[in-house]
Amino acid sequence: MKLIYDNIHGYIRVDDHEQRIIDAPIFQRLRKISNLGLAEYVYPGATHTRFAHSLGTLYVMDRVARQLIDEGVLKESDKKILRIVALLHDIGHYPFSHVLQDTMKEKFREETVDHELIATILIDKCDEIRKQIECITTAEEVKSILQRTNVDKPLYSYLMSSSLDVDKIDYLQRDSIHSGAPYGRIDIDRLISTITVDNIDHPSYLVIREKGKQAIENFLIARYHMFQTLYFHKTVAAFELMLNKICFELIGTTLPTWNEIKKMSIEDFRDYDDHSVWQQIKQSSKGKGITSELSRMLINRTPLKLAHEITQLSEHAPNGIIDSLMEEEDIAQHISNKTDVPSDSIFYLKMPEISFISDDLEQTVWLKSDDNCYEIVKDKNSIIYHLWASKYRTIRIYTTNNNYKEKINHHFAKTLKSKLV
Amino acid sequence: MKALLTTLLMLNLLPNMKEFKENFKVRKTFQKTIYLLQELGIKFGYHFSWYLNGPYSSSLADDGYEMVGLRISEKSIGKFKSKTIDIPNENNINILFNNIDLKSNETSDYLELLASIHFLLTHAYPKIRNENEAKQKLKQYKPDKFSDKEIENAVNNLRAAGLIQ
Repeated sequence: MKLIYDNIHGYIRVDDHEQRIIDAPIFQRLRKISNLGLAEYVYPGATHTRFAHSLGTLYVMDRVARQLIDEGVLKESDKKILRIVALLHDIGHYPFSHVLQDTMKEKFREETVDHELIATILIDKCDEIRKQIECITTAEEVKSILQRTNVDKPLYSYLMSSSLDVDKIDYLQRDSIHSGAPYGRIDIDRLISTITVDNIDHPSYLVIREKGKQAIENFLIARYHMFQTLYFHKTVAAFELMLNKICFELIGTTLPTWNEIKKMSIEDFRDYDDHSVWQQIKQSSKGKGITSELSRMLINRTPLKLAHEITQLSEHAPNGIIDSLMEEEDIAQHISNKTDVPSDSIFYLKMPEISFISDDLEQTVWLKSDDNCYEIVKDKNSIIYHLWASKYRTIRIYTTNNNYKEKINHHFAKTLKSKLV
Repeated sequence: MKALLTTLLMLNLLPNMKEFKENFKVRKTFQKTIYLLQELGIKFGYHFSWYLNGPYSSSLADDGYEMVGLRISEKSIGKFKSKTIDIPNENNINILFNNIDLKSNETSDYLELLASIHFLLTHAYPKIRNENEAKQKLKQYKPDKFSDKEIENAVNNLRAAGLIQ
């Protein structure tokens, strides 16, 4: 047994087999995968990595599992499996975390390219990790929890990936403390101590006891605010958009395709990290054309300029600008035709819808009273009931210089004015 | 997402998207339709996991909400429909979806049954060895939801469409 000091949770205890997983080169690779993509270009402290987050997730999983053991839901043997799953949940992450994953999804639309799938491929390939897993359970079981295909123990997957999972409990605090954006702070003690399961309607699904209502409300609001202030910050998004455009072009030449990633040896995957991608961006910066220009801008920390931002509540479409834009086959070309700005200098970014909680039953959060369970969004006494419909869609148009920015901004101001008239 | 929309329009398999946000059954129909189409060979790239009501993909859910956000106009429907998408196994798609009214709320339970049995037989852990075991599991997970006759019928339809041996 070893103790590892973590700046978020304090000492984290790891067992010998877990320590051997941590020592495996493929796990050490996570030290070179930033947790927040390029957020450090805006928040200089946000340099933390997937390595620390993975340890933190193990710690949170341990605490939640202990709570569920006290509730009579889990056993010690379950906790051991869940700790391994938590430790390994991000082992297949792409360089720059979600940024490159999104690029891969865009590039290989017909394939499932999620990092969880890579994790299962790595578990198959890495003898050392498989050996340590087999001290506790089978590799197949761990893979099924990561892939959410375990039909006998859905609670395991729910703990790892849901609206209230151990991943989010760790990263909200970690991202908040490292970036300095204070909105991700949550009452972890209260939250965990009120977690239980609904053994009435949906056995095996996590719920929060009513006395933890404020803690879960705070958790959902913290997540919402972190999206607004950090994850979707306009300059962070600009840098990540640049990285996305550059990598989109480099995949298939100097960066690996999906098929190549699947076939990579453990040694090659170990070297596929933020540093290796930076190396290719540096190479790319020496050429001509828009990808090279974006590479130079990224290296020199020169963000794209936000020319225009359109935000509207999802439930209302006051001017329909987003709708009419989205109907265009080629949005950049459409804006270029209207503004005379070259289409390859126009970058649009459709941000994912931001909401407090998903409408879907599968992703909701349940509260538990003495005699029943109910969705938090249906509780009129909860602040979430009053806020949950507040979802908005945002499209941002970025460009490369101030002259283009002015032209694009002028076009949208004119369009909006004509719509309002 | 536009490729998904185009495919559903071409196959005439788009559920009642006007009620997508308010009606859980429409969302369930949407999820299970895409799951089955993907299993029939159309490459959408979604990963489906086991949830309360059978196979479910959270990224597909996001795309569904976005599709509603598009407020699809007549003009765009024409434009999307004119695109050519490679649809393999169209015959099997017709077999499976023939006589299914995707606009009906009752359809969602039937599609849940089809998708759940298929998931149990092909993707589930622990491995399920045969149809009888899948039927038992289904009854265990969803007691009283489906009758033996409904399950038998669903298995036969999956077999006719070539989704199970």
